Amino acid sequence: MSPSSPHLDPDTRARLILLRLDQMGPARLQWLLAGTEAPAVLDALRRGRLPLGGDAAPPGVHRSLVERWHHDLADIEDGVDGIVAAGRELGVRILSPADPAWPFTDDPEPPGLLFARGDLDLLAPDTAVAVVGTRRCTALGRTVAYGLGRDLVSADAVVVSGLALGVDGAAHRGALDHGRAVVGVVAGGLDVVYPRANRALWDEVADRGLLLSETPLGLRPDRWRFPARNRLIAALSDGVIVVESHERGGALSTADEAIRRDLPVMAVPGSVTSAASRGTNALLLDGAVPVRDALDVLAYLGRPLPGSVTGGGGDGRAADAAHRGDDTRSEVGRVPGPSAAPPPGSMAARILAEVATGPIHLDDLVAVVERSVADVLAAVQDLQAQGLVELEGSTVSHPRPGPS
Amino acid sequence: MLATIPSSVVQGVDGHPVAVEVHVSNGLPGYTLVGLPDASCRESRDRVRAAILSSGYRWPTRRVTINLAPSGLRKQGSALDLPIALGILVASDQIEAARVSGLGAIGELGLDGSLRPVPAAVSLADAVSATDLAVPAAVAEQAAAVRPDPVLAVEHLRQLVDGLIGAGPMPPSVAAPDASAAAGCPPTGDLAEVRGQPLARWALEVAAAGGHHLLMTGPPGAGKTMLASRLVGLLPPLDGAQAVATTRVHSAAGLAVPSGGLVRHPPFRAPHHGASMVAIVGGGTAAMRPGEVSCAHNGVLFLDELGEFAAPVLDSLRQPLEEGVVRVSRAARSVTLPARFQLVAAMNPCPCGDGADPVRCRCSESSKARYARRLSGPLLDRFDLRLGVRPPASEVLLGGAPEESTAVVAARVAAARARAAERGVRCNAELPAPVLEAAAPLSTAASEVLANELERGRLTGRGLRRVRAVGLTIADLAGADGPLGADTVRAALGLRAEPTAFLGEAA
Repeated sequence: MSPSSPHLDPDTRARLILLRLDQMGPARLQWLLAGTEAPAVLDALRRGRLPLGGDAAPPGVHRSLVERWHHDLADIEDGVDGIVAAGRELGVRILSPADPAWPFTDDPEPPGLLFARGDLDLLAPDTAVAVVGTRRCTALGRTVAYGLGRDLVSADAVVVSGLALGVDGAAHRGALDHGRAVVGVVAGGLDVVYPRANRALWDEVADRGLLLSETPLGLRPDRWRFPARNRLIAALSDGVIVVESHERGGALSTADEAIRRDLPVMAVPGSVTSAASRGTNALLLDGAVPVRDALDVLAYLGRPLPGSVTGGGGDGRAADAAHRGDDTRSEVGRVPGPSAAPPPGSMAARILAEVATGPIHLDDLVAVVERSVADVLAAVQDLQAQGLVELEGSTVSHPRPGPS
Repeated sequence: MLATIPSSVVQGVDGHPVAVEVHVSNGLPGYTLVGLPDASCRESRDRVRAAILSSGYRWPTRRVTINLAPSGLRKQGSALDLPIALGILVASDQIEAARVSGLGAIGELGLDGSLRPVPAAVSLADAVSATDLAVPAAVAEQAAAVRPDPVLAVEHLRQLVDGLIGAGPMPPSVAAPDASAAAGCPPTGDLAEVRGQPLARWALEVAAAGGHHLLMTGPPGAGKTMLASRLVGLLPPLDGAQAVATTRVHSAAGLAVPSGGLVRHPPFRAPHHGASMVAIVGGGTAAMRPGEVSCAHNGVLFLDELGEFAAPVLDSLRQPLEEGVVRVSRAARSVTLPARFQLVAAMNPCPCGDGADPVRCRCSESSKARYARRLSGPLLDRFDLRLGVRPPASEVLLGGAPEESTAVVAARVAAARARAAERGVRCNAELPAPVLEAAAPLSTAASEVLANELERGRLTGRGLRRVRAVGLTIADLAGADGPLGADTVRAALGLRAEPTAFLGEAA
């Protein structure tokens, strides 16, 4: 038996060892710990036995699994000190339920331990909102997620998400570009970057916000760890927004966990033909709250609205619109400000009217305006310089805030 | 007896003179071919022997030695058959030596003595240092294009020998084709068949007038290939020197040269995206056969599915795009091939092609990112004109007014190119930077527009020059004089969509 690790109390140490056992998820750990303490569980396992705590067999634990645990235990105990040291090197803090910062006091299914890199103050925010969604999102979903991250952070809310590709990453990005109140919850150990494409984002969240996992260092994000991670995202938030989700997307499990905890579930409405919005539209049909932007979210959660005097209703919306207008302008920089609206009946006015109904290809614009391609292109470029339209590729659309 | 017949071999598109020396002497009957002949060249012995016998002449039952001089130059190909046969007939006293003085020859022999066409006839004929030249009748027109005097169009070995020894008439002479003759109709479809798509039609017109490289992005079925193939019809026919240069490349590459002997229309080359580096750049065989970039010399190189080409192949386009030539080096030698082409490319917005419509797109983030990575960078920067194309609406396809025909647009293009010619170039894309600045001064308003774009980081210094060149072309098409106006510059900017805009937001 190896000596106890310095700076690690016996309970935390026992939990760390238990968490490193094969297929040790939150439900099994909770069953094992029911009515007893982690060191006692560990003692039982060392003897190849289950603790005599539960009445029924733990979920899905067969004799063979207990034998495997018994077999692996010695190695794991030997390796624990090295892992703790490596984690300390990475700046990883280990939180246990005894810790004053422990955020899961009342949670129905708390993690065994919490591994954290970054600003622990973010565990106790006034408002924390989860912004989640599919990895395979549309450009629109990405833009909305980015805008939600940006505007929620600007309104002093903490943005919680899962550091995945797609919606999660866009929400983190938007929040990091405009603040630092960002919590990323990942499925694997904090030293196992997944997906690798998000390494830079991962480090930025750890440096400027807070990076969390319930998985001990060194363990890969197995499939079953993602729904478990989603439960932590919900548990850390005051409300969950699903931006886009396919029919059976993982983001829906985050919504389920929120419902289990009586938290509000919000969803961004999408096109009924969009596969990436099928899950969110179904959520709306089931009674989720439709939200269009951060303002809707804050209003629903009853939080103060930025820039608004009355703090609610249409006035607040208008005030926020003005606020966002400021944002857009500051991003555009030292561009000659929007000149007066084009005179009615002019080609520019007709183009603006067409664009107002939705993005339009230059071919169609030429056909509608009935002028030469050169004239239309010149007019569109002029309108773009004024910030009134956006020419992306060969499609003209309304300028939209967000990542470009 | 010794006989020497001037001939030539080809490497790349350049012919090199070769003297075929034949010596027939007493000794054991034998046949020796020296002077670095390759396998195809050494096979000439059996063809020549059969051809001489079939034509009713004698094969010398003595020692025959043939030297291909200069002996340091590797010889390949079958074009030396005819000079070898003539040399043997002279050296074995069947033709008087005086009769062949000043006569060069190229051509492959059939076993019956008939003359077969050879590839690279233009380059070969150009290099033969002799006053008269006997060539296979099938390639006589091309060969004559580069000769000061008419060439002898020979159908059969006996026809030539009979003429030389006075037993029959000399083979007919063929004079150089008139390079300035009317070019006739271009071989591709008419622009009138393209319905709708005013943006792409106009971009095509600007591309034709200014020689600007063009990139079209759009989903499958948007008509990208149809549009691209219409471009050559808008370009002016090749002038004399261009026609000869392009014919020389086509002949060297073994492509069919149109009847009349000269390629008079800008060629349109559309290699498949599976094409290898050698197929695109050239240099595959010992003769350093020209690749697609050279076959598109003075014409259009169309790369459909740009994103599917191998990255090294795309990179290899950068030298020809910059210098108008491609230098191919192999272990033993290197050649410089002409490759001044207009690049037209088409691509899908993402691997599955539906990227413009994110709901239908079936690509994963990583495959989209890979696709975008392959296309990003210096190559996309070469395209002065970049636009998105989209299938026209069904009502436009089914009805609608007929569109302008190729002839109408080509007339405007010709007028614009005439204005470019006054600046000393064929098209505005070729204008060197100082000339461009002088030829395309900016109005105050236009300067403001461009300064604004530069400030916002939407334009680089290089992009600025290209926008000016395109603006100048737009002004030329409109017949406008004086400094470029703000609207002209804006239109040029509008034809320069950021390539990444089409590729989704693969981060």
